[in-house]
Amino acid sequence: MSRPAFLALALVIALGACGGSTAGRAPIVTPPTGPRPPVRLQITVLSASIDGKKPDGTAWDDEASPSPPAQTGGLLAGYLAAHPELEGTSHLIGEPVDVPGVLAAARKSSAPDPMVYLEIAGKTFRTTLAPGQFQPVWRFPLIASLSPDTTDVVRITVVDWDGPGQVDIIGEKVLPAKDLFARPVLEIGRFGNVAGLVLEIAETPAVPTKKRVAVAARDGWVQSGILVAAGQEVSIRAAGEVCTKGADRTRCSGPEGQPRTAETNLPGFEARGHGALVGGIGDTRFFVGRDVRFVAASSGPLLLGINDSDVSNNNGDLEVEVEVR
Amino acid sequence: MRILPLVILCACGATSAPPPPVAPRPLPRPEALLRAVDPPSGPGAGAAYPVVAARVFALGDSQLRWLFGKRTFAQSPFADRYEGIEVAIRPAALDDGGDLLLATFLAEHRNQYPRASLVYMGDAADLSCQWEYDRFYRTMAAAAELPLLMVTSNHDGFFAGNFTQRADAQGNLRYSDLPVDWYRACSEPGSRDDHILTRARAAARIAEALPPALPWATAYVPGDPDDPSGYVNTHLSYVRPLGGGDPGAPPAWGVFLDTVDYRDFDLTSALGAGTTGSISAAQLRDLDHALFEVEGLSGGAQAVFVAFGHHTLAQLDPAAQERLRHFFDVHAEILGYVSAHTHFSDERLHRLPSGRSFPELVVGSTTDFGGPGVPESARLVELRVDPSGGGRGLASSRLELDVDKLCGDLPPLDPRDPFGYTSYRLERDDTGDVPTSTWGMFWAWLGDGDLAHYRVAQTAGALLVENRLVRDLAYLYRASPLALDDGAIAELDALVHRAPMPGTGWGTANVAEMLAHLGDYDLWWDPVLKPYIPLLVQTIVTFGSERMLFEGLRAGRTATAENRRYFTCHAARAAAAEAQRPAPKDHVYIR
Repeated sequence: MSRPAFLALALVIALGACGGSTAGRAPIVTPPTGPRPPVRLQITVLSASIDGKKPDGTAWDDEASPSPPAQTGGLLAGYLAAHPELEGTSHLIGEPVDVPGVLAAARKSSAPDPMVYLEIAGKTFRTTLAPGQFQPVWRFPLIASLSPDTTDVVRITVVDWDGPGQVDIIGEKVLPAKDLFARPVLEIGRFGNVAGLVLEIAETPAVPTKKRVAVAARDGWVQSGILVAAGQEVSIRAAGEVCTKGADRTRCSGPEGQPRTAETNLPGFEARGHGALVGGIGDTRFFVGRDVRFVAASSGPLLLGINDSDVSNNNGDLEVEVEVR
Repeated sequence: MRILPLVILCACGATSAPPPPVAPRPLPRPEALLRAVDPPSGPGAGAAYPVVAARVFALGDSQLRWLFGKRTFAQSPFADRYEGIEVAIRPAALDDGGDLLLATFLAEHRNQYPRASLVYMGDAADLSCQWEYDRFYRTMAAAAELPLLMVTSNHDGFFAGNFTQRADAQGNLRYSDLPVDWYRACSEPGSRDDHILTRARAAARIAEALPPALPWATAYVPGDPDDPSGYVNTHLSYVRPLGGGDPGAPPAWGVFLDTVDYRDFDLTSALGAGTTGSISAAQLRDLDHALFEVEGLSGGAQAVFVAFGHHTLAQLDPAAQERLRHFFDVHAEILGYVSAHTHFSDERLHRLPSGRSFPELVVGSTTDFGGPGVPESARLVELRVDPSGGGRGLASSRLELDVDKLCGDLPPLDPRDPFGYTSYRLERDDTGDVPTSTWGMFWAWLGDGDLAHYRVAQTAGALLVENRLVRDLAYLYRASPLALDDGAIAELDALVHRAPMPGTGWGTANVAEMLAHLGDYDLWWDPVLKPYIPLLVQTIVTFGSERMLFEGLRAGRTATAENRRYFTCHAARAAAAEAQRPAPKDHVYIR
């Protein structure tokens, strides 16, 4: 090998050793593939229109006809499995925490008592109950993150509430989840005995909210001032002490509650410690204790309270921090 | 071919850089004087977890004692023998060198465990005198251990760790001269000024030395510093972050309990603050709030906690035990409880109301042996987590002082030496006991309503013990490597060989004349002792009368490494001898 050729070879080796590259060997940029990233959507179940009679011609809520058997599987079971914080309170589903009487109204009416289950992005949600209505308007928002290129489906089931765990299915619809990106208002035509159902869809940014709330033991249910949408992650922590029998210190406890139950425990929390911190959103209730984290099953204002229906002889308060994202 | 390396270097743009600086060689770490010993039950459930969130070097119960006040019933032979717990009287070498032993542990912290947060577990003082705290904080400052995490305790605010008033011990202390005895024990020779370390004064010193923090981290009510029995109105509990964790570990915090918080417990109904600690419901509410705030700070990373308190869980009053167990149960983020008080390293496992197991680690004393052959000790505590599995727990080892390594070739004093470490037991065991049974008290009451003769006998016994201790200490200093001048040598020799002077004390011909010549401070004794004790004090030597000599000599103890080793070693050897307890209760020597 001649000396110039040898030098050239050495230079090439040296450049190689230094990690250099020759011009014209620019890396090939490949466009990204795969689905676009998820978008945070607020899906509002707006309203529906329901046929006047069942397919067999009978009224939806005919007191003469036997009630269907209690539903032990299916929709409710899937819903409760997705929201374990509701354990023990399922018999109160449909009854708002702050405005009781909805279930009683639903029992009296011969019109359907519709609510909607939505299974979306691996989560199950449920609207509130619209007692005795053929044209229910729920305006129920829920939050879900979906890619515009998703191949998932959305399952919508409209049911008629007949009692705790008892429903008639009015209509069921499965549609591609990417249809939610097609237009801001999605009008779904007839399925089953549902003449139509309207959804509103809008992109919504995540705006985490964090707030401190004082829950006085004498105040019953307390408005936290935080509005929660189903699908949002909720984190609640609490500290402090409440007493449920005047100056009797054996009836004092932290937010976890006393190591005993009482006849005056709130409905849904009969088996929980007396005086414990509990919460409610819309028509769902959940035990809080010292801390709890969950994906909200329902939408509405967050309420907090002490597990005691007789607050007249209570004292003390709890400091509660709520974070919603 | 020799050109090739050159071409390569040029192509890389390399220059002939100067040789890299030689890294300074780290100084050799001093030889460790503490042996890390795994507890008999193993290092703890957390040892298997890979990440250390915090390391803690816990030590306590140094019991630094003010020697120069007046001996009272609290330091009497009876108090030392009572229930076999011999802490009312310690060997002179140990009382003198308690601060050196503490400094030895602090040096070990600095040299061997520098990353660990230091936590002091209380009982820095012994009689509860301000002088004792002064000495403690001077030692801490000299070791650069300020600010300081420290818990409240019974010896830091209660006379001799137990009492403040005559109503204490179910009223049995009505026979004492409390609280004036406390003022006497803490007095400066010649002065009746107040130098007692009340609970409020102790808490103020602890609070002042704490690392700064946001207001919610500390629950402190100062109380009246001048009220000897004002302990109910003082309390101090707090939370602070702990250090020494691995990079990326979750935050770790200490929960510092106040176990002498008697807001919910009537201390006068117990035998004393040393036998029964307490934690009020209000304190746990404050700490509950503090934990709530800490968890809000953590930014999603779950903080881990460890609780510290002076009394063991078993030594709290039953209601406080129940409250604390519940508190630990609902705060699963607290991985364990570190306590002290017993002077004996120990590990305990509790069952919480929910059925969960909960560890308690008991820290030994830097001054006392835990028992025969169980040397002074501290404890290393690690808060460990497993990020993958979510496991959390404590791991710990006992850190025992290697007394033989500390002393090297320095021999211990001969046990038969009349000025040996525990020679004071001759005088102590020559003093009879005080009836404590109901029957005995009844007979005593029938014979003498105020039990004055027992007070006289025990105080006389305490002074005779002190006389021996002074001579023991003189003997120790006389044989030390200190550069003693002729005057000091003469004074020390005079003390060692001292005999009662004729014409003084009880043997004097004219008692009234002698008393007339005594000053206000000399006559400042429990009134029932006045006919006897002031005269006795003229006969025997006390630390108070030799204060100038000993305080002058003490300054030389740390002048050289040899001096330091001599006094520290003899303190440790004295503690070892003290832990040997051949004299059974009620034994009387016949000499």
